[in-house]
Amino acid sequence: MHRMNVLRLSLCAIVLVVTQTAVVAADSEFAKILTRIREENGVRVMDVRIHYEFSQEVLRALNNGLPIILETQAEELEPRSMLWDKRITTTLVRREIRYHALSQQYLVRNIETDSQVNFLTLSLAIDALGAIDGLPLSTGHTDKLKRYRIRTRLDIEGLPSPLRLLAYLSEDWSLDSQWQSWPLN
Amino acid sequence: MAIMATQLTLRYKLTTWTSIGLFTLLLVSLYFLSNATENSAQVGRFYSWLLLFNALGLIVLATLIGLRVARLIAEYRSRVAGSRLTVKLVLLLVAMAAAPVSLVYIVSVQFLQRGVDSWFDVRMENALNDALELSRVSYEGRLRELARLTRRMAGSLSESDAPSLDLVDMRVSSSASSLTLLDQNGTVIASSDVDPTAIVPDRPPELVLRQLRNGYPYLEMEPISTREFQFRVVMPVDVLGPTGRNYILQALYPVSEQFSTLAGNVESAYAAYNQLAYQREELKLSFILTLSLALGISILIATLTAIILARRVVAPVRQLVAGTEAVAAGNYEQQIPVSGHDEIAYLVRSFNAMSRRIADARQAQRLSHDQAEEERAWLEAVLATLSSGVLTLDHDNRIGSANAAADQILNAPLTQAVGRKLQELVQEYPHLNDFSRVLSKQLQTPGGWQEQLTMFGPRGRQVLILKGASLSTDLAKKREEHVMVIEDVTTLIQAQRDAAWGEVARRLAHEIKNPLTPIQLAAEHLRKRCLSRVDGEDAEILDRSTRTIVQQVEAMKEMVNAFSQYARTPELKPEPMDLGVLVSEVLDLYMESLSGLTIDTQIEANMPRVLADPGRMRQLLHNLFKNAIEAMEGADRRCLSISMQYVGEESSPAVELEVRDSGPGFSSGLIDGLFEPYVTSKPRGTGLGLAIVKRIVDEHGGAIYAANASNGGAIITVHFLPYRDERHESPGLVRVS
Repeated sequence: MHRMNVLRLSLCAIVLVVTQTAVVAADSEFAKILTRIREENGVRVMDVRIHYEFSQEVLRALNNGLPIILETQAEELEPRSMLWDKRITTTLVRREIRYHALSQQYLVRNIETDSQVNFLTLSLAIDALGAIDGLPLSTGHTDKLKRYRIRTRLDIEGLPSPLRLLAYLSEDWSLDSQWQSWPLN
Repeated sequence: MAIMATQLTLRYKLTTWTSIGLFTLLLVSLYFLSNATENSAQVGRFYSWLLLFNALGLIVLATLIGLRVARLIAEYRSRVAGSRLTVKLVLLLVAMAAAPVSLVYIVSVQFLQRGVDSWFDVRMENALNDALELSRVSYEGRLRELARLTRRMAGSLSESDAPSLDLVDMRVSSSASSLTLLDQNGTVIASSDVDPTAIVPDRPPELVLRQLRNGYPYLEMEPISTREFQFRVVMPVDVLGPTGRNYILQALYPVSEQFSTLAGNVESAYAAYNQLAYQREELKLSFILTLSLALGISILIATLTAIILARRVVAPVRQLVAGTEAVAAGNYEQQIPVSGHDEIAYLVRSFNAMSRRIADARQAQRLSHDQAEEERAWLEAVLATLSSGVLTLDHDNRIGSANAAADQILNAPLTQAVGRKLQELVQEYPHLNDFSRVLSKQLQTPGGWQEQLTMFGPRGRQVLILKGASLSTDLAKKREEHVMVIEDVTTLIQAQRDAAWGEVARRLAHEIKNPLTPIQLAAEHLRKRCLSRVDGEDAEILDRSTRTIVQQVEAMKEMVNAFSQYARTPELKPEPMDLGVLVSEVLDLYMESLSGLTIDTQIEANMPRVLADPGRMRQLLHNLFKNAIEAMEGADRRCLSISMQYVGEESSPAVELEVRDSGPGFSSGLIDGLFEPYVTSKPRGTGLGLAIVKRIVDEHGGAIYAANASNGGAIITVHFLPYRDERHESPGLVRVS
């Protein structure tokens, strides 16, 4: 399973590298993040591919019908001396994955748009969960060096109340990629 | 002190109200937390914040109460008044509250665990599984029908010349909501949708396309939303497309509303059950946590209430103890604020009345004492200024009090001998023997008494008049005190005698001196006329008689002159003079003229000068030395000792001149009237020498004493006041022999 995931991620990365040059990747135990910047109708946008590695406890909860919400936050920053970095753009994507026992499918729902996609397998659902396309970046080129950063994490507050305290205390539920950043040309 | 107490009270009230406010918030928060634990839609999202708030509130509350408990323990260990009672009350109240609450907690936890476990039943689980399976069987049957229908449509399309055109008819006839013809890459060839606004048809997922490429049809019921489903059937169509590959037909069929609702219900119930089953332990933990928070808050509320109640109950007792301690320490102004109308308030009022009365009595006593002190001070001042001595003795002849005049008159430090027996003083000062004897006799006499006493002390003979009376202080114990007034009338008697003698001398000088000259002249005239006319025995008789008359008249003249000199009071011309120098000058005359006389002189150096008439002082010294030398006539050893020194205390300084001879001393019969005129032990003396000395001393404000030395000889001591404030600086002796 793990090898398959690695393979899938590798393939995906290769495809992205072939199509674009500005492809970078970052790893964490919980999520491997791959980004690509491209131009769409003259506007710079960023595609993100995140491969999640859920813990067994999270998978068990998912298969027991618990909805799992994943929150991905992307920011474009302009570093400043003597001050904290200036945030130019901020995007928050919240997606929910849950198991539908009757149809035996995994449902991935974009919470902001309330759009839903069904998947017959978990791996496909997880892939779809981490596929975020067209994140907006600032327009125009400046001489100033910029950077962007991405963070994805499991939204503990989206879990049922009784689970939250345990989730805050348990490593199985502390799924957070932390901020991962790259320079932006 | 009062400000600090007010601040403490304010802080105490602030802490109390803060705690009560926090309690209220925690209780409300606990209520919401309880609802949130059940995953209530309204407050479920605030569960973590509520839990955090409750935990922090509990910690803050526990800290506040812990501080109070710590303070209470510190007071208990320091044995602060009322702390023991407070601790006992707090323990009692907390125990009374904690016991039932803990029991309810234990029962609730057990009930909770059993209750949560009872939610999960194998039969229910099986029923849900069966319901789910039944739903699947139901929709799978429908799916098979739809698959057959779709396969027929796919077959029709494969035989159709214009499959795109037939698609609309097929959708209408099959009641599909959407029919889409795609190639195997997923590219839409043709589409027909019940919704005319749907421009972009719903494409099958890549996985489905892959499955179709492998020759397997796709049949699934897909959830659109929670209670909305659709059937998706994807079949291969045996129509060779432009790419040379088969087409794919996707048919979307709507699910009936009834089936959707029922299937949605089954799915929801199954999912909810599974979720609960998965969270079973966490659910118990959450409920137990909520219960534990409630228990903690209840016990903390009980503790705080117990502390507040105990302090409120014990406060009057504490104040009473503090008030009692204050009264014991002498603070009789202590008043305790009264609150309420219970027995403790009555006790506080009684205490306040008691301390007020004590304070009033103490104030009255203080006033009385001050008044007595003032009167005593006034009396002492009066007694100190009295020239008469005042002495009190108790029933045991112990000296109760004495004034300075008594010290001076009796020549003994009676003021410093308060509390001592008079007999003890007699042993130290033997001259008080007669005085003590008279007192011993008179103190037995009831009522008042008076007696004249002649006493011989360091200052010579003294005539005292004693007046006494008894003061009864304790009639029950028959203890009496005696007060007596001592008056020294020696000087008065002496002055009266001096005045009498002065009058005698003046009269003598006046009455006798006048006829003496005519007598002398008459006798000389008689001698001159008659002596040449008679002869023989008559002449001898005449000569002897007239010579005797003349001689006796001369002697009488000398005597009258002496009396005249004693009687007259020439005007003094005092000036500061060194008495030691004058003593040396006068002594020089005697050292040169007399043989066989030893003169021993001790004159202290740097003596203060005296204010005196030099002529009168010279006469005084002559009389003293002459008197001493004449007293030593016929003695085996003739030694005249003269000493001068600075004596006396700071309050009564004096220059002392002491003249001591080695003669027989004063006879006891003579010493009483030694300084009176015509008192002499010499056969040819006029008896005016020491009388004149006494008068000169009196004229200069001095004092003279006469006494016999213990080793024989007489001592005359004269005291003069030093000139102004000249003080004795560096004593030293100059010896002249």
